[in-house]
Amino acid sequence: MKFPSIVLLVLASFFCASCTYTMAVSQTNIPENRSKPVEAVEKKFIVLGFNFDNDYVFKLVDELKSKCPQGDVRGIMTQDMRTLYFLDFFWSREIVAKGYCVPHQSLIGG
Amino acid sequence: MPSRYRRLTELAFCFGLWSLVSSCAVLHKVQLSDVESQTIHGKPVSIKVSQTTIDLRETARLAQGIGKQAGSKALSNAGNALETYTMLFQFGPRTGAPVYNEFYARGIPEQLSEECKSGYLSNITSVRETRSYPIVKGEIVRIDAYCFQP
Repeated sequence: MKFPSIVLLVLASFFCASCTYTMAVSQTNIPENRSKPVEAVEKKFIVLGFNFDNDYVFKLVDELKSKCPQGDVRGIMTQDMRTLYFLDFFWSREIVAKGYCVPHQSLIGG
Repeated sequence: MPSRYRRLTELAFCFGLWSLVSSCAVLHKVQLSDVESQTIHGKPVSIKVSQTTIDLRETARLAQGIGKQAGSKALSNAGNALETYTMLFQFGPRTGAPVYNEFYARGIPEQLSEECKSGYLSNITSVRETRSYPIVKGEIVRIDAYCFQP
């Protein structure tokens, strides 16, 4: 059976168009209690490289706090990604922070 | 005015305009620490350290381009020489442009401790970014955190 060229082209675009980069991944200590996972995502779409500040990343902490208002978020995995769209004219930066909401435990020592 | 000098003036004007409009913030890496929601006694703390540097690769490309456009062989050669220098001494993986003082971020823990003397720091967001102007780059490390007092 002979595939039409257009089908091959579509298949090739799925397999060859890898256009997402992971810039960095970090992980903090993972708690024993992992019953309540929480996640925060911040994304910024950048056109032609015009990006005048990176303040959007500082919203992640507030977003995580709002999802775990009575406790702490531990075991945070931060994934920093870049997705390219068309001809490097448009791209997005996406920061994903995933962790576990646990009851508050003070870190203040005696 | 000879056409060569007029061309150079036009290029200088374009470069000046480009310098004014193209200051961009380039994000390299973000890292979060554990997050505490008990912010009643928490005080936001922010530390920023930076190094201003010259991007020699970009300078070389610019000199090559301007030299070619303006018909200046000396400038093109200077660009080529600079490109060769960067190829020899600035190879390998890098984050941002190379700086002249690699210790600029080493004092961050001490600075953070100074901001939160009798407490502890949590909710830390660490950002490595570049403030990018043509040729000149500001390599930045910024730490935002909350200081919790007992």
